[in-house]
Amino acid sequence: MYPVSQAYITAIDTGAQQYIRGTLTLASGTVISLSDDNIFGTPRTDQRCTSSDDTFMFGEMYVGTLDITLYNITILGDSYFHGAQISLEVGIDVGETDPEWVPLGLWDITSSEKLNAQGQVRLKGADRLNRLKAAINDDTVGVLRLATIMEKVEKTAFVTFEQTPAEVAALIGRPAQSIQCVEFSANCWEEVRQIAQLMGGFAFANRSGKIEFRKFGMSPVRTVEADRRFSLKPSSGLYGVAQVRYTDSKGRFASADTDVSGNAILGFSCNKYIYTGSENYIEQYTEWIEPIAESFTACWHSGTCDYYGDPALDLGDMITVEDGIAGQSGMQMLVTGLSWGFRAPQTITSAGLSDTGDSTSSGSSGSSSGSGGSSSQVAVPTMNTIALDTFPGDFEGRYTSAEGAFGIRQAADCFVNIGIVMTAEADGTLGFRVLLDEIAQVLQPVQTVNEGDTVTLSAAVPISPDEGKHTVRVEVIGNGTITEISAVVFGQDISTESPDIVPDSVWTYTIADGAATVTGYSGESTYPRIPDTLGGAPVRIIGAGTFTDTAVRNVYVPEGVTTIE
Amino acid sequence: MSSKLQPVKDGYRLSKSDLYSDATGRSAETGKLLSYIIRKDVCTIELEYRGTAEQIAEIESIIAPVTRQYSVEFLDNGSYITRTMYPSDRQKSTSVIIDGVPHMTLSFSLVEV
Repeated sequence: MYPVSQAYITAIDTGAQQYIRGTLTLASGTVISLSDDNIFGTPRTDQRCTSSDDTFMFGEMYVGTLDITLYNITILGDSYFHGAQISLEVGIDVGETDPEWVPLGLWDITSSEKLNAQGQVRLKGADRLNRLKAAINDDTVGVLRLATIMEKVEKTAFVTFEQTPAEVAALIGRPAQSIQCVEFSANCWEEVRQIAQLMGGFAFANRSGKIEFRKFGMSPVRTVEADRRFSLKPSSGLYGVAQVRYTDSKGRFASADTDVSGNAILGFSCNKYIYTGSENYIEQYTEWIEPIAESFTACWHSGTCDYYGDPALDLGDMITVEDGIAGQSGMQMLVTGLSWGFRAPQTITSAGLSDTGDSTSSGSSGSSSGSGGSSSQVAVPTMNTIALDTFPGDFEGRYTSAEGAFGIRQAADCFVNIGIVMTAEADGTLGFRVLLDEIAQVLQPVQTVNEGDTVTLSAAVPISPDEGKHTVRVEVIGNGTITEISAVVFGQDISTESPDIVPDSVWTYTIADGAATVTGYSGESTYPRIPDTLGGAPVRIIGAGTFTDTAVRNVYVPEGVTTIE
Repeated sequence: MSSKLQPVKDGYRLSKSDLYSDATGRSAETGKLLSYIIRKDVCTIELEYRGTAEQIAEIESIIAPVTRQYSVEFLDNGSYITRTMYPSDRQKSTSVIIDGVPHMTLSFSLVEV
């Protein structure tokens, strides 16, 4: 549960007024503030860590979603929201000047739907867990430690973990160096899921958008009074886990008892971190599952509860529901599903266990959980965006209005999203074209204009770069003034290209009056960084023809250069 | 609004209401109301004028079209407050005939935007 004040809890329990605010960050870097003035109706978020109401397993992960309608938004082009992300906060009136704000989360925009021409748009988002679907292509040979794996996941899926490897190891209850395996899984999702299994918990994207591992809460953090509920639907049965079991790929298993007098066995199987080739596998397996059995002491009821709502509740929290069952003072529910709406009831789901009492079906294939079988899933590829540098202003003839560079790991189809608002300075035509590595891509139609006309040109231009580094340039053609421009490259597995630091020996230079002049380059990098000093003298001049007959596409020019000949 | 006519009623009727979200409803268990407040103290003022057809037409032209918004200053709890309001719920009726000229009554309300 997000830490809140006592005044906040009192305010929630008495039905205080709620406020909402947030920020929408576009791929181009533009930040739009959101408030009651441009958030329409009831934004809704959904999070869960089990596949259905009667299935409870370790290591379950589901992509959290957002559904929000905005208005008063000026949309620049059809692809305006590609690569955008949105964060929201809810405020509760606690009687002070300012409400108490609770962050709700961070979502990548996955779809946008214009509802009318007046800037009303419905956006759907998926949280950062969605990015874990990125594939891992790595044939590293040798033992992989937890820290290596987490670093690989962070770099591949463009996510950040909330916890350090040491903190994750502490949750698992073993020393970090003993958590290791011999190969990467097919994708980041599977890596994270298997680590979550080891702690008898789950992974989710937290309020700041980071991937967080969590064990289930064993003691209640909140009491839901009967007067604050719209409805309560408890399922039959009180669940308690008596035993935790691990089954390997050969069907051999080991179990560890908990302190709970329940009758359920909860387990998982085929986890690549739990490896043993020896005969004493039972001892080995028990070592892994004993910490889980020791910490899993919960008894809970399954069911759903439509609650007045508390945005501070988190997945995995335990709550007490008062007067849940006639004759009982209260029952405990484990929050495994949270559907929250602004100024609307919050549906809390507490999953039960399957009828057999044995849920050791969570195989390494991930058929039930790894691929995310829920109907609420948003299945989109992990797209990255690189904003190009833009140069609004007056132009006549051909003018570079945006440019930048990016790197891509393997050949793939990408797009350059462009939105340009420009005013014509003379009668004629206005248009633009996109150049990938200085080669013009699909031609864009030009627009005939009269002097003073303002036109908005927008397009998603497909490009197909090969593996490696590339430059993109957007050229406008005509006579006018650019008042607003956004230009973004988006595609899978692309990244911002950074200049290569090359040895001084690849540069030829002369030194005169204590300043160096670069005169030639013989390196292989297509994006070299010119050093600050050469031969002990600061670089001041880049000579004419320095890069003639080289493969260089971009150059990083250091501070201090005064002349480029 | 018009110097020619004064409201017939002695003063005006001011009502305040709170706005609630569509999701507001009663608990299926206890029957208690669970309300999500959107806005508190939204004011409505009811006014009534009487005059000849011409005079009433003049007032009516001022408060039409309904999309027009006014800054209205009124007395509330002993002090004057200003709110932006739009006219609504216009009703006309022939009430009395004075010297053979029918006089009409126009009532309408000003609702806070």
